[in-house]
Amino acid sequence: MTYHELNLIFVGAALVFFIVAMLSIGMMMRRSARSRRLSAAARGTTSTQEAAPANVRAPGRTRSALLVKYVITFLVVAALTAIFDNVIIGLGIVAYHADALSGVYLGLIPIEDFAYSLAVVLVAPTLWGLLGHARARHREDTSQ
Amino acid sequence: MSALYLGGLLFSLAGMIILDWRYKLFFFAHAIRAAIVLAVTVVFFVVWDVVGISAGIFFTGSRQWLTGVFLAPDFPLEEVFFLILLGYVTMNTFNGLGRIHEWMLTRTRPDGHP
Repeated sequence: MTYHELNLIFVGAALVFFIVAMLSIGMMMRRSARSRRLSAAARGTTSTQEAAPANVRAPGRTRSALLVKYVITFLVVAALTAIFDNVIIGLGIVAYHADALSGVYLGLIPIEDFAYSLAVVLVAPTLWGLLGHARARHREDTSQ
Repeated sequence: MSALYLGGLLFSLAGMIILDWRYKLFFFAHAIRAAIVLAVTVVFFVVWDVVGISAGIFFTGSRQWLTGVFLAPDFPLEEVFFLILLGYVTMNTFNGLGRIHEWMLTRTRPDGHP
């Protein structure tokens, strides 16, 4: 197995998790928007603006702001990886079997190492968001 | 054998904890949620590492900078702290960007504060 093949398995798993989590967050947000509209209608307020909390913005803008946040986080983590990895490879703490590598390097770093930066950005903030939305939904359900 | 690498990791981790504490970014925002995120992230990458090590793709080179404590063949204690740092840096960055975005929104809102 090459390093690229190894990464394909785990970045693939991270990507599947990311997509499934984003879809379920979207579903939770639509459901809570619907229940807000319903409870607003029950109170007799028909204006959707009044029904939505002040901090809720248009879904399109929220989505692109989220995408920008993901991209910048990846760039920061990849830049820090570039520095950190050069140090630990330079000190000889970690080593690679040349046969398993594609041969593309950034300084001392095999390009494959950046798969870790990509995967951590796909997994950690997404799980954080998923837990936050699940908590908010749970609170809504129990308060009704 | 030395504690240089572990020391460097702990020093960096201390920086992350200070930023987290100062701006309430991760554990200081929601401790349980942060613990779950970090635990899942570390386990995911430990599995990745172990598969990579057993496939012979990467391995521990010089042990000169390591404490010499190994949790498995070619899996030094330091790797766990590296993975914790990786997750912590990612979450501090992501939530820090969220904080900056919120700050920008209140700053530019026409009815908001200057």
